[in-house]
This record gives sequence, C-alpha cells and structure tokens, in this order.
Amino acid sequence: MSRDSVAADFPFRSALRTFRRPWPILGVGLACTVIGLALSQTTLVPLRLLFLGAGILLAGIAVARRLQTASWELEERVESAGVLGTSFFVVLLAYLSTDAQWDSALLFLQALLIVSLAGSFIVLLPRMGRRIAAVAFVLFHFCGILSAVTSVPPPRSDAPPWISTFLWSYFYRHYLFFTYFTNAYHFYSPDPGPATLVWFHIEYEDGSVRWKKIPNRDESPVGLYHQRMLAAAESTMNNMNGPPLINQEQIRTYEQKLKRPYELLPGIPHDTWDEIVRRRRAAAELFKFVDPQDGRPAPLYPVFELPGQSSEYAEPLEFSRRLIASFARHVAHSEPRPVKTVRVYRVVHTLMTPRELYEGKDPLEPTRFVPFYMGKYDPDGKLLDPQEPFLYWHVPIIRVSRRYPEPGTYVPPEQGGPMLIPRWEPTADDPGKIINFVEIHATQSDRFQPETLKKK
Amino acid sequence: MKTTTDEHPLTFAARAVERFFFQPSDPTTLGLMRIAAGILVLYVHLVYCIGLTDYFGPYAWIDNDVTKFVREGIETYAPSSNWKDLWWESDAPVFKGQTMWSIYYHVEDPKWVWIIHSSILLVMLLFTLGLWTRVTSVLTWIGSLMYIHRLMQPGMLFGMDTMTNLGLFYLMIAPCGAALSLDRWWQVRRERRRLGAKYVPQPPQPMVSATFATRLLQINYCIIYFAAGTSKLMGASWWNGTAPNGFLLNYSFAPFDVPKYVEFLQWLVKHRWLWELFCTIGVVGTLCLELGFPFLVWNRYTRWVMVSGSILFHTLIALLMGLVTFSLMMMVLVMAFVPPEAVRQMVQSWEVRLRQLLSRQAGSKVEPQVALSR
Repeated sequence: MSRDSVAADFPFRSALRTFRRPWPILGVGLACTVIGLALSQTTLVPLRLLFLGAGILLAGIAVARRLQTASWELEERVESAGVLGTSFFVVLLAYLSTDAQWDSALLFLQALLIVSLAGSFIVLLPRMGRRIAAVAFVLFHFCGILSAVTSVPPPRSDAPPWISTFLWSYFYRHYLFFTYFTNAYHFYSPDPGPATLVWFHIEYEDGSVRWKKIPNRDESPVGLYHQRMLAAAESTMNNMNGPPLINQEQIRTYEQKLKRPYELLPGIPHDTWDEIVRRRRAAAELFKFVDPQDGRPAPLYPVFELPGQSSEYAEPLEFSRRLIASFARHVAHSEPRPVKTVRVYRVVHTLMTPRELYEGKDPLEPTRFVPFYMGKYDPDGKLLDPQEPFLYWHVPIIRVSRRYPEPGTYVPPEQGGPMLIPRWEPTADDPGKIINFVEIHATQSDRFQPETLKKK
Repeated sequence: MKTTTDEHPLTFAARAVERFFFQPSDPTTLGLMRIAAGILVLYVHLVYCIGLTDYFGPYAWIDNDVTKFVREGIETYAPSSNWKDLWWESDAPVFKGQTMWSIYYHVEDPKWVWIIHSSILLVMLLFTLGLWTRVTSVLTWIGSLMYIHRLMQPGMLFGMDTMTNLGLFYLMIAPCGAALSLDRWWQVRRERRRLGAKYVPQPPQPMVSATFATRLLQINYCIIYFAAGTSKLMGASWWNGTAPNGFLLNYSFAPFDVPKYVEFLQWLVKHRWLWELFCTIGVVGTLCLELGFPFLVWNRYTRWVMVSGSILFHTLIALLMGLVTFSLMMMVLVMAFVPPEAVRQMVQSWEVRLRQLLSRQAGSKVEPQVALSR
C-alpha cells in the first residue's frame, strides 16, 4: 500500500493533497459534528442535521481513505485504529446531538458506534487475528441467515424448530432486522397460491362512487410498480389462525394477563366471537338487499363449504388491520375530489385449473373472485363500522338460481342453513344468475339501520 | 488439496479455510457485478419517482402510524424455555418492536422527500460509475436499506428487494471499485501523468477482500437455492407436479396480457400429455437445480452447467411470472461464480470490439487508450 505522492509543484495542489489525507478530513468532520452539537440547543433542525450528516460522512471518508492507503505494519495499524477511534468519537457526538424523536436515526448511529469500535480493535490485530475475526463474522452472519431460514413453521404446524427460533428471537433478530436479512427464501413454498387483490369502493362527498382495484396491470406504468402493488395487497393477507376470543370470560383473562385492552384497532373494542356470529346470522335477514339486475330480494346468507377457504370469516392480524386502514387513508387522499368514505374488500383471485382453461373459461370470470369485507373508513383511515355484521366476512360473487331466494334455491335451516350453495349447477330451465354481493353490499348496506343489530 | 502426512488435520482445515476465503483474486468480476447491480438499483429507485409521495409522503400507502406500530408495538413471542408451555412463552412477548430504521420515518414533507431521494439517486449513479466507490458503495447500501425499511416486510417489498439488499451488502464489503470503474481510470491516469510514457497499465492486483466478498456472495446464493428447494419438498403440488399451475395460470403474475402467451397455454392444454410433460419438466428441473446447485457449483466441471441452468431458470421466471427485476438481480448475483479470468477475457473482447467500432466511425486508426479494466 502506497501513500499519495506529495508534489510541491503548486501550493494549491499541495494544499489539496493535504486535505485528501485522513486526519485533516477527520478534523473537518469532527468540527462539523461539534457545530451540529452546538446547534442542538437551537431550533435550526435542518442545519443541525446537515452538519451532523456531513460530520459522519467526512469521518467515513477519512476511514475509507486511511484503510485504502495505510500499510499493515504495527505503527500504521495503530494509526488506523486511531482514525477509527476518532470516527467513533464523531459518531458518539452525533448520537448525543440527535433528538430522541429521531429514534431510528439513533438506532443507526448505535450500529455505527459498534462498527467503528469493533473496527478500531480489529485493525490493531495481526494478520492471523484479523482473519480469525473475519471467519468469526462469516460464522455469525450465516448462522443468523440459517436461523431465519429454518425458523418458519412447517405446513400444518405452528411449531418451528426450537433451537433456530430461540436463536432468532434472543440473539439474531436485531442484527437480521437491521440489515434486512430476515428472508427465509421459501419462494413459492410449500405450494404456490392464488394472488390477493384489494378493492376500494370510494364514495365522494357529492354522493358519486367509483371502484379502485390493486394491483391493476393497466394502471401500472412499469412491471415493477405492478409487483409492488401485488406485494401490498398480499400483505393484508396475514390472518388470525383461529377465531377471535369466544366470550367475555376469555377477554377478561386476556386483558388481565397481557395488561392491555382487547381491541380491534386502537380505541375500538373487539367483540367476542359469539357476538360476531350472532350479528352475522341476524344480518342476512335484517339487511334487505335487493339484486339490481331483477329487483328480487337477495339475502346475504353465508356460503356453505366455500371451496379453497377454511372459513367464511377471515379477520386480519393487527398489523394487517392497521395496514388496511392506512391503504384506505391513502386512497382517500389520492383522489382528485373530496372523499367521504372508502370501503375495502380483500379479494382472493382463485386460480384457474388446466381443465378450466381447456374448457375455455375466463380467468376473470366474476365468481373466481372471493372477496372479504374489511370495513368502511373515513379519509383519515378511521374504521367507521366496527360492528358492521359483515366485517371480515366473506361477501360472495356467486351464481344462484334465477328464482333465488325461493325455497329450494339455498340450503334450508333444517340442514344447517340458511346458506348459499357454492356450486349451484345451471339447468336447461334455469341458467341462473350471478349475484355480485360486493356491489350490493357497497351500495346498499348504508340503508339499513345498525341499531337493529345492537347487542342482545 | 494435498496434505503432507505429518500435517495435523486442524492445520489442514485451517489452511483450507485460508485458501477458500483469503487467497487473493482478481476483482474484475466484482467490478462487472457492481455495474450491473448499480444499473438495476438505479432503475428500481428511479421507479419510485412515479408517485414518490405515495410511498413516502404524509398520505403514503403505508403511513407512519403503521411503521411506528411495527417498530415499537409488534410483539415477538419466543419459544418456551421450560416445560410449562408447550411451544411459545405464554406469559408475555419477549420483545416489542423491530430493529428498523429509515430517514423516511421522520421526513414526510414532499419537498424534503424529493431532495433526499435525488441525493440517494446521485449516490447510486456514482456507485454504478465506480466513482469514490469505497464510500458510495456503503452509502448505496444504506440508501437502499432506508427504502426497504420504510416499505417494510410484509408491506410493499418482494423478492427483488431481498436480493438487491443482499447484493449491495456484499458489494459494499468487496473492492468492487478496483476494476471497471472511474476510480480505476483515475488511478491509471494519475500514474501515467506521474511516470509518463514509460508507464504500462497493469491489470488490477489480486486482492484478499475480493475473494472474501465473493465467497460470502457464493455461500449466500447457495443457501437461497437450498432453502428454496427444500421448502418446496414440503408442498404437495411440488410432488404431484401441479405447482406450475400456480404461476402459469395465475392471472396477476403470468403475462395474460400477451396474446401469444395465452395462445401457447391454450394449445398446450389441448394435449394433456404435453401439458403434463411441460409441468413435470418444470418441477423436476426446478428441484434439481435448487437442490443440486449448492453442491455441484463448486466443482469446476459442473459449475458451468449450474450457472447456465440458473440463468435459464431466472429467464423463465422473468418471462412467465413477470419478475423481471428479481430475475435480473439473481443473474447479477450468480456472476459471483464466474471466474475472474473469464470475465476479464470477455471485457477485453468487448473493449477490442468497441475500439474497432470507434475507429471505423472515426475513419482512422484510434490510439489504444487505457482500459478501465486494466
């Protein structure tokens, strides 16, 4: 490793070369950080951040320059450690100058402190010591990645391997999250599944409505945008493994144990499963939906044995519930006209089989979409109807008899109903009709008074 | 790989580790990887310009209430360390929040979002060109990670972001600016000025850090394939050969907007044998590649088969599933297995062709210049 040659031909060049050396750069960086620290007592936040950022950047440049130009003789190593140690001090000053509300910047600076401190010790080591440290890093890094890879529960089990999950939880999670090495690389495993879509029913202040659907290939300027929208829709699909807490007794136990309220969203209490089911059953009769195609009544009964779905009720986990609210807020604020409410439906677009393709069926056939109602939100993303009976329930697009809801066109109460028949077969006399309950629900459910569904 | 009879097995192992990680190698492959990864990363981040505030503004798709909840509120339950609970600690979560960081958690003002975004794009451009690479490689990784943490997983991220992060992380460790870069060009120019006509440019010196970073990339790539392959073995559709239905017939992924693709599928399903053969070859090929790659790529005779197979595999993923940037990033990463000599030879042949083209256009013989690769 060579040092920069110093030519004294021009004073300016000579001065420039001086300031290309690590120590002067580090000195300027330190000065910037000190100014940043001094500005922490003022309200000049952008200026402070500029000085702090410049200070850290210059310290980084000094370190890079030093490590590129210095040799590995002992004296040189000591000086390199000095540069790293001083850069640690620069970062420490920046850390002390950063407000607590910039918590993620503090996190980043903490990591930088660890790296600069560890670096200053490692450069002091002889060659063998440095190589041992490098191999130790390799082991640490890849064991962490392996813990992320193996801490996914296998199918039909909620129990991942104990040791890797233990290591992941207590030892690696901070490192892996910080560096974003958390992916388990289980691509299209164990089985590739259908895509998830999100449909927004937007109601404007003037009473007009429109649908917005993501992902939408036609509205995606580039493929990458389409993939991002696909990922966004998929993220709403983190569902609870089972039903919510069944009764008040369970809720009391939960709240006592975890010392927090059992809530749907902050400030909105979560009902019991008993109450949710009661409301859903009652709603089929109380919401007098009408099929706009023929003006016939269209009671929204649950669907009997929904193919490909384990449940008619799919409540997202808290993260996805918040995400859906955030999506609704975004959609409301992206519209050119003032928005009154946004209804959200999460939709599974079931896969076509090769046989269906052979039979010439359309991948966009309406009944292929399996929607679940995710709530009505105001433009600030506040859930307006936490007690809506259809919240998180399947709201089907389904083929039924043209005579629906006459007796014989649905599963009767004595057979466990009333329920809709999922695969109703058309006959020569009755080709049937497709009822789009999503459209009906979005446009008609406001007509019915929620008071009729109050808790018993 | 010979060992003397009196060498202790531990000494032998230590030497093998030393050779594997620390034998100096030519950084040219890493230089080419930097250019390719840089172009992709630049493209990915340029695409954010389409509706930048939809991602990072005050009314972003994922607002900062959600990110705050993830950073501070999301709970981690650890496995039970006793026999009281069967699997998970039932008393309380062991951690709250996730270790995530991004400037976009704190800045939402569109003006500042644009300023920061433009600065990061500039840094990425410098990284791609190989200017001040030691610093810009670190800043590019940090910059890219700030987008990733802001968009979150689960959120608006997908496999491409994972691979981008992985590639940039290892390129940050690597001397990726030591070849095919403006840094290198600048260095040669300086030397030429200093030494004058007697200076003959030499190829970049072999470097320990080039080998070390390349090995990290190679190991991680093998882990990706092995994890993807073994996890597929848990799925019924990968055993009965129906897994390709999941992406060939998935309207949101497959190119159903391309009439030729739909016509091809319709023709294929008319011949059941052909359809089943096509799917079975797809399944067996995927499993063989993903499970075989981590073992066979280390052998010099089978390496080219594995690398070619990987490129073909990701080309098909790009065409049939629309994951173009993901596939391109995987192809960039698999370059880590291409020997630097082969890359150098390829780059030199490009250089010769470029000079020939330039000389033809200029109508005269062009003086050979200093190659970036040398």
